[in-house]
Amino acid sequence: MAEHPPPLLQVRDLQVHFPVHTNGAWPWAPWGTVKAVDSVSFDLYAGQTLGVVGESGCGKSTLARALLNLHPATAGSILWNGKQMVGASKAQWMAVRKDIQMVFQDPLASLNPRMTAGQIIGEPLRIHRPDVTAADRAQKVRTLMDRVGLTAQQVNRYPHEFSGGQCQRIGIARALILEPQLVVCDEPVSALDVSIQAQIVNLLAELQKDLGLALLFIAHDLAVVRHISQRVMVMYLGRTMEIASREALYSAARHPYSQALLAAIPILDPELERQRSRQLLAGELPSPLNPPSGCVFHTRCPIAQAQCSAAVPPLQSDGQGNQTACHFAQAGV
Amino acid sequence: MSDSKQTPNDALLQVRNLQVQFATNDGPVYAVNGLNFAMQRGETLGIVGESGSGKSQTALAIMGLLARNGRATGSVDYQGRNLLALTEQQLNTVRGSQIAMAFQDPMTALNPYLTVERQMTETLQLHKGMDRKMARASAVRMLDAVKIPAAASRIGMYPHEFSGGMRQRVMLAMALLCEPAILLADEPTTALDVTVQAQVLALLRELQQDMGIAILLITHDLGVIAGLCDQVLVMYGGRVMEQGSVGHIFHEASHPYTRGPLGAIARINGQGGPLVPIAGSPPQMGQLPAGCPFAPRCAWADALCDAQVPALQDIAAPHAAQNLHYPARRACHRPPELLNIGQSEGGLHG
Repeated sequence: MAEHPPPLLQVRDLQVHFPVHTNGAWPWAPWGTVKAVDSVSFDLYAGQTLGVVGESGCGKSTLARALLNLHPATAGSILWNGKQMVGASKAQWMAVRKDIQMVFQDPLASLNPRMTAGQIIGEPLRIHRPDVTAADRAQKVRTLMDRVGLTAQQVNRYPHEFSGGQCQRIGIARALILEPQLVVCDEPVSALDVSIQAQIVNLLAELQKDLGLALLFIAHDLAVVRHISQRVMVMYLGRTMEIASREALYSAARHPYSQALLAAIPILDPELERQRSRQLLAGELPSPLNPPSGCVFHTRCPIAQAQCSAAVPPLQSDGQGNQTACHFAQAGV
Repeated sequence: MSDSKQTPNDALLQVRNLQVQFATNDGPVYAVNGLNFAMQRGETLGIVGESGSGKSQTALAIMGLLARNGRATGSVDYQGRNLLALTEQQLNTVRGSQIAMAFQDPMTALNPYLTVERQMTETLQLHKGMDRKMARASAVRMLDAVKIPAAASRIGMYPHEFSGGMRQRVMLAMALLCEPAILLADEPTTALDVTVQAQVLALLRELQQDMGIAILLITHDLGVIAGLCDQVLVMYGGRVMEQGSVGHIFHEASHPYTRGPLGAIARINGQGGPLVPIAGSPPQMGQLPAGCPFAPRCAWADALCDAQVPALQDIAAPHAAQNLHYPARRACHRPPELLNIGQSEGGLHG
């Protein structure tokens, strides 16, 4: 693992906090802090895919938005090609967004209904590269539409005339027109039908191979993440629980939370599925307004001990590039 | 292919040739065509398909809850009565108390203006003639049964004060209040995380064992089917493509559509190779093709498939033979041997 080039994106102890009224919405209600992202660290290398999984409310989407400064980071560091981006000016972010683009979760809601497909796909180019002529832009839009599986005749249609899968293809084309180095995909397939999900996942994997893109792929569906990622990060309540290579995570997850997530997936075999005894996670995600002390997972952890509620476990490497934040991490279920 | 011969007489719910049509400005839309199935006490029937395949309309037709421009024909026999022929008033004595439905989206199916208590006691007061206090006590008991912590205090809360998984459990508790014989569950876990999904499925299994209810489970997730169902209907474009026991569907499925979405689902057991997607998109129900609805997306389709709707025919298969209760049927012009699938790959689980 040592011969890697420097990472494209290096995130260390990233925090994104939101001030909220804790007790009703009255102006005099006391303020509290929702720690949506609280200590997330990872490296992302050029051409690689990092999958991010976790239950809803664990801060996946906030993390994605923080990487493009759509929610400013509260603390920590985001190094983009070695350049510190936390606290960077609007102009600096504007320059970086040429290289970091995003694909959003809801394919229809993320497209402006009053713009045609061609205008939507061409807009980033119009904003970031005003030197490109309208004719060149139109040419590029047509090439890209062809590349993502749309036809050039559809260039003048409006978003409502496309199906969900086609809208997501428009979203992907829009993210690719600036030839970015990193595309952040926030649940790009969760709103689509199962048969369409496979088309979009395959398209992303193919584009990544051809263009050498790095992808940050966020999903709550572990099976989809497994198909596209080289490395996977498991998040819980705003914190990194485990980062591991795909093989290591899916065959021998070390963190009890990762093990619980994997155990909750049904097996596609009626006999095996019914024979299997499984340990279900009890209860609900604790409130991020008032997270548990120590390890945030200790309230639902099957192997928690006194130490877990007292001390926050640091992210520890196992020497093979896999990291786990658990006092009692062990492989296998 | 008469159904009455195949299914025992003691069926709890017997659906024969169910058709659902909607009158729209663009002409009639045939949402469900010729559905036949029987459900026994205490068993689970799964209906699986993409959005727009007619799964939800089937459940709504059974409950008499179709939109105003919808019409259901055929027969749905429950305790010697055809539910489709009942008046609204007669239907109100059956639904909610004997046949209950848990709707797909708990956020929109619960009334945001009313507390959970008001919504739950309403059913009991109406169907069982309980007074408010008794109704409240049994509502709390039911919330306890679906494992809502501190049920007695939470019952006074509004739906928005519950999380997604808890709302889904409130929906289930509400549907189960009158101890129905049949529960229609429309995508009960779709909006949930895997961990919560596992909790809800375990809960359904437990309730079924305790109360002996029959569950009609609508889903697009085959993992859910594998864990819970005895009998499976695979629907596409408003028609049954394949039906049979869960073992038959998972081990011997030979319809190109059943094979298709299963390849499309990223399998947790599979390696990271490319997924096998189905080309094209789900059908527009207003403009269904003249022949097999799946023909435009099917790799094996020929002229016959485009011209003629294939009939649902009984087929012989080892798994199906083990379980005569659930006849194996398949609607496809191409025989399984021709497709060269099914045998060699040994079913759906790679």
